[in-house]
Amino acid sequence: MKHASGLVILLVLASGCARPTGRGLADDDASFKIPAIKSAVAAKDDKAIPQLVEDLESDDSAVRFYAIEGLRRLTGETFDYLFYDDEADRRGPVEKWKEWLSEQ
Amino acid sequence: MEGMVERTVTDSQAHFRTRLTSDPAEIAAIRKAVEAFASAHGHGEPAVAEIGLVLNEAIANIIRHAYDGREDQPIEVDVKADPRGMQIELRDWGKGVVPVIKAEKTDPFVPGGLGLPCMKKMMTSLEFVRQPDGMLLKMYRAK
Amino acid sequence: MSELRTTSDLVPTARHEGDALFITVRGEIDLHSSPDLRTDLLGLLQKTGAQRLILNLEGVPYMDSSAIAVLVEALQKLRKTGGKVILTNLQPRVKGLLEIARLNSIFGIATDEADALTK
Repeated sequence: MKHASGLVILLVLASGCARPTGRGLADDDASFKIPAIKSAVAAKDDKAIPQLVEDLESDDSAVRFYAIEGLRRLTGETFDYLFYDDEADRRGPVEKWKEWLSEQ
Repeated sequence: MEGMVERTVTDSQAHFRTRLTSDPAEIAAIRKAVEAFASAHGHGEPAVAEIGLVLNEAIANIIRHAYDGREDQPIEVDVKADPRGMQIELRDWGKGVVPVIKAEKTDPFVPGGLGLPCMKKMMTSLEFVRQPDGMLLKMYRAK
Repeated sequence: MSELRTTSDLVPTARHEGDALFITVRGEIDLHSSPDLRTDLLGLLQKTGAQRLILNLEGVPYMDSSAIAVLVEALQKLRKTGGKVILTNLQPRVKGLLEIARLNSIFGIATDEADALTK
């Protein structure tokens, strides 16, 4: 009986602690993505880094602004990426970011 | 040479627009981006420093006065360079109150930002354009 | 002379010598970080009762008007009892801002801490 109740408690805790799926970092909608980026950076969440590197290629300049600022705060690097550069000029720094990511 | 980034300034780089939230933590990043943009388009020091300072103060004023300190409101930043200078526009959806342009304060102990007269001195032109739902601040700095 | 414990990245070192409080400030000080600087500075002043505040700004590449407001507040408190604020090791942009705000004559300005002690 003691063993069973312990198991129930564990199951309850496990389900309560499960991260709710929902809108956030991977969202296409900037109005959800940007607050999620800010939260991840505030929490110093390195797991956000791959998504932020992907966001450097976003068509939305605001997403790119928050992505590079997030990466700078989490890693200390920018690899000369400027969020307002046009796509051709962003290509080089984006490649550097991808290379850096593959080395982590 | 490894580490050198070559940048050709093209027409498509002469303009950018982005959106921020009214969070003071974001001011430094946009200030540095605009300073880098100014530098890349031919503005030297101290112009770059003055442009950055005015942008900083203008955004701080929006946060403090247009949005009463709320940190989750939108601010749109639009920056254009032309051969003669640089234009910065800030759009907010706040209270829409034009700051009163007091006579230049002589008492440095009176708090409240740098003051509009100081900001106007550092830009070639600065004007507030009322919007039905907020304010547009237009600034220009000639080279 | 006593080294004071600091817990903030903005104020990495502080020491109290006689009636002087020597504080090192580090980082960019703007609307985001100036409230923390205010808490640190005013807390240390109250703790020590120092009459002279000597701020080493070598590690401060940028300040805005909210940072200046913090320094002015410290100065106003100290002036009530005849004290003063001296700023040392100013970086060019910070020096420029003080000139724009016409505060370069309100604060003591020194090249370094040794120079500050002669003011």
